[in-house]
Order: sequence, then structure tokens, then C-alpha cells
Amino acid sequence: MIAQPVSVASLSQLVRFLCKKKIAIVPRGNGTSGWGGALPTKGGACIDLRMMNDILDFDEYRLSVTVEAGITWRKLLMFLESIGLTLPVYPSSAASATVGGFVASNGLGIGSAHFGEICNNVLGMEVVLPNGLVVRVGNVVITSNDNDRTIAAEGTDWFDKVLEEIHFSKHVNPIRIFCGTYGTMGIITKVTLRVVPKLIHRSFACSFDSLKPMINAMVEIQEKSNPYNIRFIMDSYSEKLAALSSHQDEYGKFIISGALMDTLDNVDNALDELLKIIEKYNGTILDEERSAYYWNERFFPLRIKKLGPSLVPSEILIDIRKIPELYEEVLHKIPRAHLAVEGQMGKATLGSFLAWILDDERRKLTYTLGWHRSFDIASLAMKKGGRPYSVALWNAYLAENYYGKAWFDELRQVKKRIDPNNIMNPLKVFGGRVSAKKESLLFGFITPFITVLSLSVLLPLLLNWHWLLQLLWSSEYLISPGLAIAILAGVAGYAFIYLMSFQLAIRLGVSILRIGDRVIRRMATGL
Amino acid sequence: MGIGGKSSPPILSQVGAINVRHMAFLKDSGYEAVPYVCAFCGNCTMVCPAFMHLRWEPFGPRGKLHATKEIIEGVINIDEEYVRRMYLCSLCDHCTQICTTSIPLLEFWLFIRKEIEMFGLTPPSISFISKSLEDYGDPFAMGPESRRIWTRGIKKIVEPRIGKQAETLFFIGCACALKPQLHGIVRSMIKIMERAGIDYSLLGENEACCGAPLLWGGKPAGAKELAEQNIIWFRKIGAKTIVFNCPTCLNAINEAYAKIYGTHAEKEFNLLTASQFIVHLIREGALEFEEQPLVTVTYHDPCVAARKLNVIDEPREIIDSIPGLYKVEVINSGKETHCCGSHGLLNVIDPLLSSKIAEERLRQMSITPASRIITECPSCIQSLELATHTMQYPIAVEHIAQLVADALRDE
Repeated sequence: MIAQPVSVASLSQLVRFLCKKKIAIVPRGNGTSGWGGALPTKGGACIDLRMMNDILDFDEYRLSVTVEAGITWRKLLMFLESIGLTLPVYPSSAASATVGGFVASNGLGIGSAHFGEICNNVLGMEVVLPNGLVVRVGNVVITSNDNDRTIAAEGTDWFDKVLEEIHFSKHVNPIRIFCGTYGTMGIITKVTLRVVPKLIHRSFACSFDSLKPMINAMVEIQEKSNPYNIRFIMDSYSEKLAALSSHQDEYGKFIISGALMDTLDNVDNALDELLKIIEKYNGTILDEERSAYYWNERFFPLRIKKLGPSLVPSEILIDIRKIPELYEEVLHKIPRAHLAVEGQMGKATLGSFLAWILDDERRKLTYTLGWHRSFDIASLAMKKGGRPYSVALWNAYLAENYYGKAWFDELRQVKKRIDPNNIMNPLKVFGGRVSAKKESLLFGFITPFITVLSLSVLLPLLLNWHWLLQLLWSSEYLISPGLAIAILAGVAGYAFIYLMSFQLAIRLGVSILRIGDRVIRRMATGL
Repeated sequence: MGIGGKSSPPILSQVGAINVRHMAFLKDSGYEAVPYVCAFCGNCTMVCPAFMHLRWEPFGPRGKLHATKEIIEGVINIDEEYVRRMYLCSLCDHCTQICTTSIPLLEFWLFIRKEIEMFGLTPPSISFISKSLEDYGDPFAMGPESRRIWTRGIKKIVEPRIGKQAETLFFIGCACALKPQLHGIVRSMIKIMERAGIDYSLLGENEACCGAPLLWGGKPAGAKELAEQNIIWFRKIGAKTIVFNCPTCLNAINEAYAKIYGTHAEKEFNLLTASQFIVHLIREGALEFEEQPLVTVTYHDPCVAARKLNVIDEPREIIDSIPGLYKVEVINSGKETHCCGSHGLLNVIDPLLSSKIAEERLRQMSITPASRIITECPSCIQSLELATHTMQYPIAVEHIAQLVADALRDE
């Protein structure tokens, strides 16, 4: 079932009904993230929030804007820029990503070099809980026509009491319960965001011949020039970008592009500092036209997909100083011709390392098996102190690593209390039992059954243990012991699949993909 | 022969195994990878005027690409539902502009319509238009002799211009020539050219449709033929500069020229939209204006003019040149302009949807303090004018030529 609510009151009623019937609920923005946060894993109701897309309030004194969750960042940005303001942080997928979706996944985006992750810039939120109650956390600024104030007051009281009951940390802003938890705690309906004046804005770009100077320059720019945004492009990415355009000067270069945003004096000073840094590391400063080109390209990181035509992504957050060694290891695993790496700076030295692996989904077998490479890059990065960029569905098995144990335990407690039946976006973040299909269950039964059956015949024959063969296949019993053991193994396999957790399924699945991929590649090489 | 050297397509009634259809679909066309290049990011969906009203994923460009992928993979077949979906599109080109993987979506939609035509599944209302174009040379089944009806009252001035040898040719277009509601645009252009002392020519009944509706209806060969017919006449009268009332006509002839002769039309002709032409006249000082009584206007960029021809600054320069006019911008302007709903034969296939899209565009403009909407596309004028009635929002909608002609200083 797909529902497109247009008001909080109707959505609240719908959620109450679904909660009563224990039907799974999957909130959905525009489905732009690649981490499965909006995938319905257990059927149920998909709540498409795109019809709730109004700008509700703009407060020029508090510098805040309150919007419905289904509005796209682009639409909001267009409005703000028309009145001389901008957003501190917005995603590179601004044209289609909804405010609710990006806030629910607490992403890094344009502006994160200065303003950090999006949650730092959320002032307040309204959420419909899994039981249908409407809650407001932080400061939801709506100065007039606040139609949902009454229902929100009731829900907020209830929620505050729950937090008290479970001794929720007083020093944590409750916004964090909903921001970055991928809609597992409730459906975000309104968000109040911080806005900033669009001061003097200068885009810049520079290229380097090798990686280490680029990273060093980036660290220093971040420290001394106070940039609004920094994006970096590796040689593997720039060569593919060049292949799609007529401009070849930056083919195979390492590129930093970004923007400064401050008062005129500060921007001029920062720009001077920036130029000195680029010179110090033997970088080439690109002209205004190229800077503008790369600034515009911030919205089109997927441009290179044409060369695939499919892409397998892998993204992690890591201290950018570790990137050179990580990149080397990644190149060792994936041929450069199939790889394109770029990234975005967060605050201080934190950055995202985004590896795109070019592939072709029309070659179904190799494409499916090749997905293990995404997980392999993530584990490589994690060995170097990185953490997943996103949890959602596919990285749910890394949730503890992502949130940290203490905070994850607190979140689990809140989840248990507000969503005891685990109907809100099931399997995401918190994992749970997989609803295996008939085919998987059959596979779970047949594999051990046939294996044990074959072994019960082959093993005694190979070892010349005729007594064992006689014992296993004796006709004295109603059912021969060999067959009984095989059936038991089958039942155990069936039960294993039936009770398997999602986290285990992912780990096992990735291993199977890895083995399968190796076998296929060896066979292909052999041929 | 079909596309890419394919033999004739299987006809619906003759194909026992319906799978034959998806096997032939897009094969060897050069477009078969397009649905796989799509990242399904949804950028296109969020700007698609049809999706904004139908509000259902399958009707957005992303959904259409997904369906096409399923046809290629044999999951679904090309049926009437698929055809309907592909035609619920105004070909406004906004999706191409915002596509994160740079897919030439407009080209792709046109190609799909051509494939649909090959499979004999083009909707009857579209086939009716195509037939009218083939039989009468215009989409309204009125015939070449009707192309002079707009001259009533000014015959003395314009009759001598028809077929005259001149360097400047005024291409009127089917809608302006045949629809009385739009005759004011032609008369305004005539007034401007007369006032500027231009030696111009008209094609009269020798003018044919630019071919755009045939292209939209999946018949590019027919569209090329019509365009070529016009180009031959451009040469006959020795035209160097051709002025178009409608940016779509200009674009259709421009693109057809490139396909027929393998080179850009600008090597032979100077093709100009009305605003490009008028702005030249203003810069040369050929036009003088009366002070206007403080009129606030807003400009609606037609999709083709803004996104294809990049004619964005010229109409604004014209407005700024007329004293007493004050210009306000609607948020979605320039390359971000929203479709009026009538392009791409959407007004033929689903007039209600087309009209809702126009209403939405009018709503966007109604929040500006403008008392007049200016544009330079006759179709936009028709649909926006209709929306002013359906929404009961009384605002004048004018062609840029009308604005200029009305503001000209009396001789």
C-alpha cells in the first residue's frame, strides 16, 4: 500500500490504524539514498511524503525556516536565495532529496565543511510516532496558522514522560532521536532549519598532480581559510569526467573545488590565504570559468554513471589524512578503469570517501556478485578508523559502530518503548529477523539435507567403514538413521534461515557474493 | 525500413507472441542503454509538470524509464497503458536539464514515440493531428488557402509582401495564422516591422507547418519533409533572416535543417525569435516608445525559448527598454521555467491535465504583483489565457510583439 498524506492530522490517524493492525510502515521522501532506507522490507504501507511540501514559516529575526518534510532542498534553496539567504547545509542531491529524507539520514552535504552535519542545523522537528502521536522536539517555529499545535502538544507531553521514564540523557538534544535514525523512530513531518545570510560567495578550484599534496592542501585550507564547502575529486574520477566533456586540461588530476562565503573583507583575506596554500603544495589554480563549472558540478556527482552504465557505491566517513593509504589499497582491489573516487569535507579533518564502482547491471550475475566490493571498501576504511557514512538498511549490521555503543543502547531503549511491535521502518538501523521467502526456506532445507545424505553414503565408502554404512542405512527401523539425520539437518537449516537476523544475513550474503565473484572471475580468466 | 536498418515492425494483430515486441524495442537504436544510465535519483520527477499533477511515480520521467527498462527485459509489454504514460508528457525538456547523469531525455522521449508509431500504437487523437498535417499542411485541417485569414483589414499593407523577394522573412506559424485569437500577434509584428522600415516578405499559403507536431507524434520523417518544404521557400524568396512568432517553429526548422543538410542552419540563415529580432531593432534605435502608465509585467519563459534556444535576456531587455514598464520575476524563470502544459501535444492527449499545468503556472505568477503576463510563444498564450478563465484570475496574457507594438510612439 502506498499513501500520500497531505496533512499531519490524516497521517496521524493512518499511523494509529496501522499500529493497531501491526502493519509495517516505511516513510519515504524521494528515495534518493542508495542505502535502502526507504525500501519496504516487510511489505506494509509506504508513506510517500512528497505531497507535504510547503514552506510554513520564515522568521527573518530568528533566521529560521519551517517546512513540511516532503519539500525538496532545491525548492527551499530557490526560495531562500531569492531573498538573499541560503541554507547552511544541503545535499548534493538537492534537486530531488526531500528535507525529511536528508534529515532522517543526517547526511554531510554542501556547506558541511563549515557547518558540519545537517543535524547541527536543525532547530526543531515534528514527528508522527509509530503509535500515531504527534511530537515536537526542539523549537518548531510556526508563528501563525499552526493547525497542528494542539495534537502536537498532547503527543509531546506523552513523549517527554517516556523519556523521563527511561532516564534518557538530559544532555542529549532529543532532536537526535529522530535525526539520523532513518525514520525508524517516526515519520518526520515538519522541520525547522537554520538559515544563513548569503554573503559574498566565491567558488574556487585547483588541481594537483598527486594525492598527498592535495590532501595536505585540503587540511590547511580547512584550517586557515574557513571555507563554506570543499569537494575533492581523485584522478580516477577526473579522468572519467574528462571523458564525458570536451575539456581535457584536468584529465587524471586531483582536484579540490569549493566555495568561500563570508563578508567581503573576510572572503578576500581567505582567498589570499587559500592561494598561498595552493602554491605551497604546487597546485594549479583554475580560472573562474572552471571554478564555476566545478561549483555547478556539486549537484551532479553521478555524471560519470554514463560510463557504467551502472554504479555500485561505497561511502565512508574518515579522517582525510588517512585517505592516501586507503585509496592505494582500494586501487589494489578494484581496477582504476572501473573506479571513480570523490568526497566531501565535513568539519575539521573529517571527510566522506565516496567510491563509485562502474559496472553493468545487464550482466546480472557478475553485477550481483560484484556488490561485495562495496562492503569490502567499507571494511578497509573501518580498519583505518573510518565509519559508515550511512546505516539505513545495508549497513544496519554496523549500527553500533556508527552511533557508538552508549548512544545506540539509548536509542534501542527509546525504540523499544515507542515502537514495541517494531512496525516503523523495520530492519533499518536496529535489524531484526528477516522474513525469508519460500525459496530461501527451501534452500535452507535442501542444502543441508542433500549434503548430509551424500556424506552418509560417500564417507563410509571412502573410509571403508562398512559397519557405518550398514548402521546408517539399516532397514531395521521405520526410517533409516541416515535419512533421519539428513531430515534433521534439513529442518535445522530451515530453522536457521527462518530465524536468521538481518545482520547475519548481510554478513553471510556478502561472503557468498565474494566467493561467487572469485569463482566466476577465475573461471573467466581460465577461459 | 525501420530504425537502425531494422525491417518493418511486427503489427499488433499479426504477432502471436507478444514478446516479439520487447525484443525489437529499442534494439540497435543507440538508446538501449538509456534506462540503465538512469540513476533513479528522481531529479526529473520533481520538476516534471505531469508528475506534479498526477502525483504518481509511473507518470514521472523516472517511472517511464523504469517501465522502458522492464519492456527491454521482457517483464512487461508495450501496451496502451505504456503508450498513454509516454504521451502524458509535455516534452518541456526540464528533465533533460536537471538529469544527474546527463541523459538526453527529450531526444529519448521523441525516439520512444517514434517506436510507438512503428508498433502502430500511437493514440488516435495524435494520429488525427498527424493526418491533418500530412493532408492539409497544418494541424487544424484548414488548408493553405486559410493562411491569409489574418490579413483581413490590412490586406493593402500585407498582400504585396506575400512571396516578395526580401532578405527578411516573417514566418507566421500555423497557430498564429489560423487561430483568430492569435491574429493580434501577427498584426503586431507587422506593425513593428512596418514602423522599423524593414523590407520583409511573407510566405502566405506557401508556408507549411514547421513539422514539430509530427515530430512529437512519432513521425520525424514527415516533420523533416515539412521543414524542408519551408526551407526551399526561404531560398526561393532569397531570405537571409527569418523571424519566428513561435520559438517552437524556429527550433523545429533549425533541428530539421541540421538533420537534412548535416550542418547548422545559421551557416545559411539567421533564424530569430520575435524577441531576438525586436531587441536588434531597439538597439539600432529603429523603434521609439511612448511612456507607459506604470505597468507591472512578468515574463513567462517558453520552454523551448529558454532551455533550447537560450533566449532569456532578450525579452527582458525589451521590457526594460519601454519606459513606464516595471518587470517582476516569477521564481521559476529562465532555464528553470515551468511548462504551460500545452507543448508536446499534451493539450491534445489530455486537455484537462494540460489545463491544470497551465493553472499551476498561472498560480506561480499570480503571487507576483504583475498585472500582465508577457511571453513569446502562441501556445503558452492560449493555455495561460484559458487558465485565467478557469481560475477566474483576470490578468492579461500578451505576446512580446503585442507589448512592443502597443507601446510604439504614434507616428
